[in-house]
Amino acid sequence: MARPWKLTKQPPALVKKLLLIIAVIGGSYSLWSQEETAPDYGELTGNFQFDGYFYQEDSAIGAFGSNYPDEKFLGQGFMNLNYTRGNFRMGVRYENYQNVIQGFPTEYQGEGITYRYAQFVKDGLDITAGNFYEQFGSGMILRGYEERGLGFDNMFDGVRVKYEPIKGLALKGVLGRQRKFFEKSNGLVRGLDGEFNLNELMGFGGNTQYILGGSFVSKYEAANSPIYNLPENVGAGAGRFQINSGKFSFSGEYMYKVNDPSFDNGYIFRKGEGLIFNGTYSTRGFGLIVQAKRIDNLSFRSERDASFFAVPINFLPPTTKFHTYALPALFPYATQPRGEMGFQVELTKNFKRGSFLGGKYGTTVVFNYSVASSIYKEYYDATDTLNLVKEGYKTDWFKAGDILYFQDFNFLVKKKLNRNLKMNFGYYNITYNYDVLNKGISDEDIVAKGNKPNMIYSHTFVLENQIKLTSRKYLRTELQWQLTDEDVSQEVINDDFNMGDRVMLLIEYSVAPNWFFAIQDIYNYGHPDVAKRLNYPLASVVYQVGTTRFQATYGRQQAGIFCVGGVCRLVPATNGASLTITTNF
Amino acid sequence: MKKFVLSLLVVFAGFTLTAQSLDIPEVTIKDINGKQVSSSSIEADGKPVVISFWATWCKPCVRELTAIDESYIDWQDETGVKVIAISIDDTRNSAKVAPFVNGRNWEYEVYIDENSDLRRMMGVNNIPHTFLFDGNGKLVYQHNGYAQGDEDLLYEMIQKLARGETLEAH
Amino acid sequence: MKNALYITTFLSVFALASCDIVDEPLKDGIGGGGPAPTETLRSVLIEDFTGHKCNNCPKAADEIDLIQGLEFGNRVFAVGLHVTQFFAGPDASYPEDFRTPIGNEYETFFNISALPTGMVSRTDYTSTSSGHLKNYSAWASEAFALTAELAKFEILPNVTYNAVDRTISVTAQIPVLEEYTGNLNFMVMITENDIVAPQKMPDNSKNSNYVHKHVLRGGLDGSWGKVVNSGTALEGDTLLYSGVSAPIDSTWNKDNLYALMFIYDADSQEIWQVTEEHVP
Repeated sequence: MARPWKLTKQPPALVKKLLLIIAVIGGSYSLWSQEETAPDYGELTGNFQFDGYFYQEDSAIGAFGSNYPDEKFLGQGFMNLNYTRGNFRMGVRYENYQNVIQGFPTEYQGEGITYRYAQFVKDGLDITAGNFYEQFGSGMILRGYEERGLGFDNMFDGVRVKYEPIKGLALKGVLGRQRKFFEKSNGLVRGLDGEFNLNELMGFGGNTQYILGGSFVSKYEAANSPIYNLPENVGAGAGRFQINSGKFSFSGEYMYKVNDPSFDNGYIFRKGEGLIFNGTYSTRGFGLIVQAKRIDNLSFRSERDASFFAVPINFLPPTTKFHTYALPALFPYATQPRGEMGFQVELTKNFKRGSFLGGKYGTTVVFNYSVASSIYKEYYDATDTLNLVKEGYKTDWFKAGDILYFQDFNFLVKKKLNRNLKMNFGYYNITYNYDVLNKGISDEDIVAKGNKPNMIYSHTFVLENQIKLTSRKYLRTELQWQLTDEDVSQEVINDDFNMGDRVMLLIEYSVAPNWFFAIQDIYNYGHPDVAKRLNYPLASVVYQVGTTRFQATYGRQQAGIFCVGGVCRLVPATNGASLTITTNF
Repeated sequence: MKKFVLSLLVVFAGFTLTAQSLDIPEVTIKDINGKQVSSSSIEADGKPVVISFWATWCKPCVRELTAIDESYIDWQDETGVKVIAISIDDTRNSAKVAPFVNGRNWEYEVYIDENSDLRRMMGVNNIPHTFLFDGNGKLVYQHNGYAQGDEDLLYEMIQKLARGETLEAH
Repeated sequence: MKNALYITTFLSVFALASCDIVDEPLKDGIGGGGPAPTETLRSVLIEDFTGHKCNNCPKAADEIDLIQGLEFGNRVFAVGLHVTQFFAGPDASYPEDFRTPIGNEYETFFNISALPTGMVSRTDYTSTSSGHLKNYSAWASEAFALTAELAKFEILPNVTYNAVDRTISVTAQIPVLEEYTGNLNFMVMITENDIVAPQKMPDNSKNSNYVHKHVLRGGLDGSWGKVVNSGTALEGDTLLYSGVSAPIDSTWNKDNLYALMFIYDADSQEIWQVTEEHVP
């Protein structure tokens, strides 16, 4: 049945005027001129992106029925415009989804102006009216940000004031509603943040730098529950510090949130607490970072019944390494807002040219280890309904829980072998808790099952070579080999395509500055279900000229998981051709 | 008379030696130690400036900066060019930027744009994205993406700017 | 410097004061019963999009049971629509197929992608967003608010079953209690209660004897029902509906069949009144 489309949303009159102004000024703009005589029309910048995908049915990978779009061709795009003149700025963004490509949140439907703002910046005062992005500290208490590639956008629509009354003191205040796809959140968010650079404020010098910061954020959402006495105002506070002294740097943030029953936490009235700590040591040729984290009940959204990408106020950074090689990236970690604890260590060492391990050109080695597990929980008796709702569970700050969520040990060796050959070799050993990370199963349910969650253990070897053919022509190859060991039930094997050993080969030929040609194949030769031992071939061409880039691909893409913070979206496997056009101006 | 000549000299010195800010929007970012600074504090001292937006997880970005790193000392000797690497790593990775950069012995001036504020104002969508400014701080070239060999083309343009030539429109 | 300290102290006090700390999380009197209302109040329909391989879906079904046990629960009707290839498609372990043409059409029209999700009388529907899709934790508050409203329509149904050709006939009189202008459709769904079949549970295990309730089996007039009003319906008017089903499927348990019927606005999709009758 054809979707009964409503007519294109008409942007409100004010926005039309804004666009007209930008168009008129933009049509007669010139870059900043150093001569005093030329009139200053301000400066216009912007960017544009279009993604289109033409799908083919492919029953072998499950791309049929409702996994195959009726439209056959899906396309989406956006355009940003920013205008700056003196102390004044404004901008707009137009987004269009006709319809969203597979894997993108389907809540984006239709088109319209989704972002518009006016900003005035002068003498330490910065006022924004309209849409804005903002981060307090590490983002654990408040972060409005965008990940265009994933379809994530939780920006605020309201007012933001930033003020530096004296050097070393930065104050911020925000008030607004968050974006919820093409609508606004029902909840209202207000926040204050102050950052104190003690060296500047108290006027002491020296090599050690001290920075302190504090934030307060509260949200309001009307409530009308027949079952609970819900808090309509929920407040949170955070404190942070950063100390840099020569080669060392230490930073940390602690956050506290009052009762915030929500869909995410199963409607318990428990407080939320979180702590992140970083310590780094870096010197010429050597870098070391240690991160530790503990999170207890820190989902914080401006709508209590929202989930997935909808209106989170804060951002809980994962303390694991983000992998970009395709096979290790099949097992991504996402922070568990209900609770987790863990740590990460990364060591970077550069062996100088001429040294024993460095060889002729030098060698870089990176070691990384991270682990995340549940927090310690003692459950109340099933009959103790009051405590179950009020507290949920008892915990201990210094004890880890019994459930391993994720563990990752990896290293990468980068070496230039001769004038024309560079090599990267990597090894990734990943332990992945399928029940928690893929299915969102709660700790209580896992413990009730005797703590035997479905686990996947993988070893991946990666060899990447970069071969110089001429000064403009290069060949880049990637060979990846993944061995997996699944400790999973038959159910999981029946459901999931991402099982078993696989090997990947990528060959990319580039001619600077304009052309890239690449061909790759992933062969899932070890899938326990013989029918799913498939090849996923993909060819791509990129043409780049100046700031405009055209990319076309054709082939099969594996099912995958895109994760952002504590949120993962399953992307079905697809077969077809895609076209992406991006440009800047 | 002396005072007059002195003040005249000061004025002349001001015209020639004044460090000008780059033609980029004024946005608060952090230096590699986490201290808040304004983007307008990035200066062009009459020499070309390259601004490259990158991230620790962006392989082509790291390839580009590694490739430039191999010739950076020569580039600086010949043209005085300054390469500024602005990382858009968010809190997941921003603490890693200093050990990452130092562990690789990179000599660039590094800043961290943790919530992509400067990136957004400069219209940058995907990274790597590289901007080239002349000695007066004026934007003359920008490029998105990286193919091995692009750094040589970039350097040809830097040499031209250092010689005082103007670049054809790109 | 001192000013800064004063300001921050004041602001922190102000900020902390603006949060509600709750001592008694649960409301009293959430049991069932209560006096019958004197005026006709609105009944609501919870459309629960679900699937037998959706491990979080039993939680949504439990929420419906909980709501129907509350004071206003007798005005809350529900239907489970099994949708999506991924969660409701049959395979060796889960051989049933509870999907229907109506469910498949709703999957596209209402933009369903993640399960479980549901609508409460299809409020907040727009074609350009997903505000009408609500997580199950929001259903109780939504149903509570809507069932306190005065009804705009009343539905007086008459359901009969013809054992010879195995068809269900429904006629209904719909008195208009409040003047209404708009296109109104009347839809009758056939649902089957208490079907025992496998279901994936929250801990990812399979419950082979799960009791599926109010499962959508079909409808009388396609996916959108019949038009019963265009233009203005005056207070005191009575709209009329009559329809006949196709022969019921032999795999259905006839004793557990219900005719679930509702009147809704064909443009805004909002459901104004609902009722349900057991098929005799």
